[in-house]
Parts: sequence; structure tokens; C-alpha cells
Amino acid sequence: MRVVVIGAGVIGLSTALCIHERYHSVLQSLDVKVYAERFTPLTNTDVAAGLWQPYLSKPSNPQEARWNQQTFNYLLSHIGSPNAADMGLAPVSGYNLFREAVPDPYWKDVVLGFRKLTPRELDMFPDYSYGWFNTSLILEGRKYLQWLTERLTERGVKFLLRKVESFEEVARGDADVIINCTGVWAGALQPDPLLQPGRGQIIKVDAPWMKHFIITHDPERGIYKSPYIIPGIQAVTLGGIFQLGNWSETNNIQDHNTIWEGCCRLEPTLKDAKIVSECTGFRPVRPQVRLEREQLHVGSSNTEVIHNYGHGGYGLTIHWGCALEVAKICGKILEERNLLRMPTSHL
Amino acid sequence: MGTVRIATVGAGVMGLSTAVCISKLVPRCSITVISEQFTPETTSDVAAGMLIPPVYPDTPIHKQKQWFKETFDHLFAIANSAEAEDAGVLLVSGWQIFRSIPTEEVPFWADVVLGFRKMTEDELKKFPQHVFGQAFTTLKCEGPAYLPWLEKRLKGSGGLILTRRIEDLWELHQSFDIVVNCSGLGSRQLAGDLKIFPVRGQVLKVQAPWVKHFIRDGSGLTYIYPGISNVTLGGTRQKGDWNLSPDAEISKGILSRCCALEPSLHGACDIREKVGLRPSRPGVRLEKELLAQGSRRLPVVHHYGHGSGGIAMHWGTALEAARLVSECAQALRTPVPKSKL
Repeated sequence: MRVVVIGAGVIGLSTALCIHERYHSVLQSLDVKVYAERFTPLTNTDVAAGLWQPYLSKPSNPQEARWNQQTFNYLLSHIGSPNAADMGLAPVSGYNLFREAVPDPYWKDVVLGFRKLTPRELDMFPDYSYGWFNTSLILEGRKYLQWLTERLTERGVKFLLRKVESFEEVARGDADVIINCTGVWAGALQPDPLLQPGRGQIIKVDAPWMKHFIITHDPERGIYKSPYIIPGIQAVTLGGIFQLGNWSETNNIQDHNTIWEGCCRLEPTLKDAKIVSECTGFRPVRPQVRLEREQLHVGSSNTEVIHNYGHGGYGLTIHWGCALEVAKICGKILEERNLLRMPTSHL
Repeated sequence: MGTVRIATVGAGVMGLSTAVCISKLVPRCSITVISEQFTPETTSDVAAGMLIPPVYPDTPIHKQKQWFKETFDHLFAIANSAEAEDAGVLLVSGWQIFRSIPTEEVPFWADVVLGFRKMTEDELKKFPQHVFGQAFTTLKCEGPAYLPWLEKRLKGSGGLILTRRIEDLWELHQSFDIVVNCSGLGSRQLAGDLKIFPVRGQVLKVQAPWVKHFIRDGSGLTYIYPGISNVTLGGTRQKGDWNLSPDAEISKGILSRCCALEPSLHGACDIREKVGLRPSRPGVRLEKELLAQGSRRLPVVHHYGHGSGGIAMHWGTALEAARLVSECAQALRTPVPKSKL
């Protein structure tokens, strides 16, 4: 079977790995290729701070909650392996801050040690009066993509720098199954009015004394529009920008000031921190993730397309659960085509 | 008496912080810190500086709690200010884990640190050899940054710094009115105190920036303390051992024990070995003594013997030492009434 994954961000690469891990030993032949226009460090995944944390409100598709949890548990199982740091993975604890009491999030039992903040802890943040403390995970986009690329290369998966203009062109040439992981640019292959860019800008600073994440919330402004500070392995990411519909790829000075002032107000120790870099990315925003199968009729044959895009600002948070789901759909396709070497009932 | 001339012997965390406290508390005084060693060559520079206090068997618990709380509050204010990076003070969260349930599940300092609670079952899964744990957020205060920061404060208020090895406190009698003895292990000689002895600690300072939490085995023998620019891995507690040279076998042992708790440390690099001798004593010596030799009198305030709790207790004990110095200064300024014959 020939599988082509379009897109080399976290969704594309993790889905490719998941499929290869699951099926390469049970198929006569499995050929997986990744086609993308952008590879690390030029993907949106590379811009993400990488903190595992879903949105606060329950997702409209309950499967997403399950995929988030699967991802957390999958990553947690790698903590304790000597390779964790190579993956860009590390436990990190920190604060979620609010101006008034809010209900606990649906993922409170997924993260570790979730609790409310004590009054003395809140004293550190005079603009906020309520909050949570918990231990979560950092999965640094760039490091993780490098790690995924190494794992895929070891398995003989090929990467092609290629701008795909249509599913048909891929179907005609190379593929039985196409996995569409084109993220925010999915609309170029198939119009999707539900998909929009959620532009984000971040500043990376050198502030190695910051060991905790600090995320503020302002329900009136919406998610990611309030300052946040997220330590990575080497640098600390400062953010707080979310602009729906803005396709500008260049860093904006007003956004820079918004981030800088907001974060320094939140954490005065940052005032002298050295700026390492600044970048812009586009969260692939959609009311829910598009994860579904579609059949294309190309000439006389059927090509399967599995869509896996629209993960908003929680791509790293949800990626493995989605990859598993895509692998499951692949399994169905293989069964339908009688391609599986060993029927599962024999095991 | 006009200006009271005060000498502080020792420029580790005790000497410098006491000098700063004195400069704030005692009016019309001059302060000179005299020491053989300065940062980064002091014991305070080797210490990781985690605010997790030990227990001193000879000191009442309420006193220890007071000292710890005063130190914590002082450093907490710095950690949340723009001075944090300069002063080398940061907030760190983590876990203290035990292989068997400790007799005291909630230590005296539980409500001084932040967010103290027992670890959950899920959290303990990360440490299969351990059955009980405490999770909390505390402070780390790093000698190589904090000591220069204190020195700057001292000089700013007119304090002087002198490099000199003192063999006998009486050497200072001519030039100073009060001596504050913060010489740590040096007090064996300077104060004839045989109760103080070294507890040798060897540590590794490594690069492992992905480690964001501290992990401490309740025995105090194995610990991982992430700091601003490195991670301290420890350690040893060797009573009566004066050897300041690192031991390669011990370093291997430390790395192995720490990797067992945190396997990602296998990727640690730029490993540097350091040794410090904890100035250990059954209790901190914090008291006045009037030395007498013939007709000569020399008021001394002793402030030493903090063992493994130096950084954790320093500000509280320094405040108390400064109060004792203030009492000495008052006594010097008060004219002695002539006895009525």
C-alpha cells in the first residue's frame, strides 16, 4: 500500500510515524512518503511554545477530549526514558490565572497534581484573584519535529519538498491513501469555510530562572489573547496574540509591545531578559478538528483521503490521539481491500 | 562613643548578610567584612541553596521555623522583583520522595513553603522505588550571584571589605569595638569551639536545562536541584571529612543515583565537580560573648554553625545576630555608672 502524507508539521509527521509503526510489519509492502512545502523549522509547529494544555471549555466533539488524554498519556509514558529530552519533552509545572473563580477544566485529572492556588501564591500576581497549579508537559515543536524526522528516516520514509496543487495529482501518481495534514492551508486543496488562521506572534527570551509556565485568562478577550509565559528547554516563550483571519506572516511591532508589556507586568523579573528571537505563526482554527475519510474518484480507481487538520492552538496537545484515529481508519481501509497479512482474529 | 566600629569575620552568606542587617539596624556604625575567602571560593558558593531546611536537634523548633520563615519571606520578595536575576533567587517546584513512610509526614516548614501537599498516586508512579512524597514550591538562592549582590548592598551603605586571614580574634581589638564571628568551620580555631565539625558534601553541577523540577530523596543523600544556569546533583554527607578535593568514584555514584531518579540526566553534559564542607553543629551558635584578656575587653557576637541549613536560615539568623550586635553597641554607648563608694 502506498500512503502519502501531505504536510510536515506535528500532525503530518506523527501521523506518518503512527501508521508506519502499526502497519509496516503486517503488510506485504507499505510505502509511506511525506510531501510538504514547508519542513521544520519553517512550520507552524516550530512556532508553538509546546505546552500540553487543551482549551478550558469542553470541545464540541467529545472525541477530542479523549484524543487529548491519549496524547498526554502517550507522552507521559516517555518520561523516564533517557530520550525524553531528545524528543523535546519534559515535565513542567505552573500557573493558570483568572480574575474571578471559574469551574475546574475537564482535563484536571489528566494533568498531574491539579489544585487551586493558595492565597500566598496569588499574592505573586496582583492582577489576578483565582487560579490553578498543576504539572503538565512541554513538547517543544522544533525538537519534536526533528525527532520525528529521525524516526521516520530510520524507517525508510521518504520526504519530498513539493507544493501539492490537488489531491488528484497525488492520487494519479503515487498514492492509495492520502493523509491530508495541511493545517491552516487546507483550504488551498479543498475549500473549507470553517477553517481560519488564528495568527499568533511570540517572543523567545533568555530567562533560565523561569521554571514555571504562567498563563493568564481573560474570558472577555478570549483564548491566547491574554499574556502567557512558557519555559522551553532553552528559551522562554512569551505570547498573548490571537488574531482570527489575519494572514500576515511578518512580526508586528504593536503585537510585540502588547506581548512585552503584558508579560513584564505579569513577571517583573523579565524586564532585563535578552530577546533571542521573535516569530509569527498561524493556528489552524476550526470549530472542531476535521478528522474523517473521503473517497476520491480519480479516473477509474478510488483513492482514499483521510483529513486530519484544524487543530487550532492545541495541535501538540492532541496530535497523538488524532494520529491513532487516522491509523484506525487506515486499518478499516486495509480490511476493506483485504490487504492485511494477518486477520486480527488469529492473534 | 561616636561611630561604633564593627568587624565581621567571614564573607560567606552569614558574614555578608549579617553585615547588611547590621548596616540597617545599628545607627552610627562602620562595618568591615574581613575574610580569607570571598565568592566564588566560599562554602556558600558550592551549596545549591535550596530552601528545604534541616532540623537542628539543639535549637527549639519554633525558633527554626521563625528563622526559616524570615529567610523565605525575604527571598520571596526578591524572587518576585526585578532584582531576581541579579540576586540569583528563583522559585522552583518539585518533589521530596521517601522509600518508606516518614514518621513526620508534614514537616515544621510545610506552611512556609508554597502549596505544600502530599503527592498523588499518579505522581508517585514516576518513582517506583518510593512510596510517599511531598510536593511543594520553594526558593533557590544561588551563592555565586547572591553573595556579590549582598556585597554590592553592603558597599552601597558604606561597608568595607578586607581580604585577610585572621588567626586570633584579638587581632581585631585595636581597630574594632565589636567583632561578629561568621567564620563557620574557622571557629574551631577562632573560638576554640570543638562542637563544630565538617560534613563534607560533594556535588556535580551539570547542564540539563530541560529539568524544571527539584527531586530530593527524603534521606537527603540524593537530590537534583535545577538552578539558573546549571543543575546541582548530589550528594554526600561525610562527617569529619576535611578533604576538599573531588573524588571520581563519588562523582560516578552521584550521577548514577540521580539518573535512577531522573533518567533524562543521562544526557547531561559539562559536568563539574565541587566540594563544600558544611559547618555542622548540633545547634546554630548565635550568642554574645565578652572576651577578656587582662584589662582588655572585646565584645563578640557568634553567628555560625548552620550545617546544611545555611542558605535556608541565613536571613533569620542574621537579623538576630544584628539585634545582638545592636545590644552590644548600646552597651558601649551607655556610660557605665561609677560605683558609689
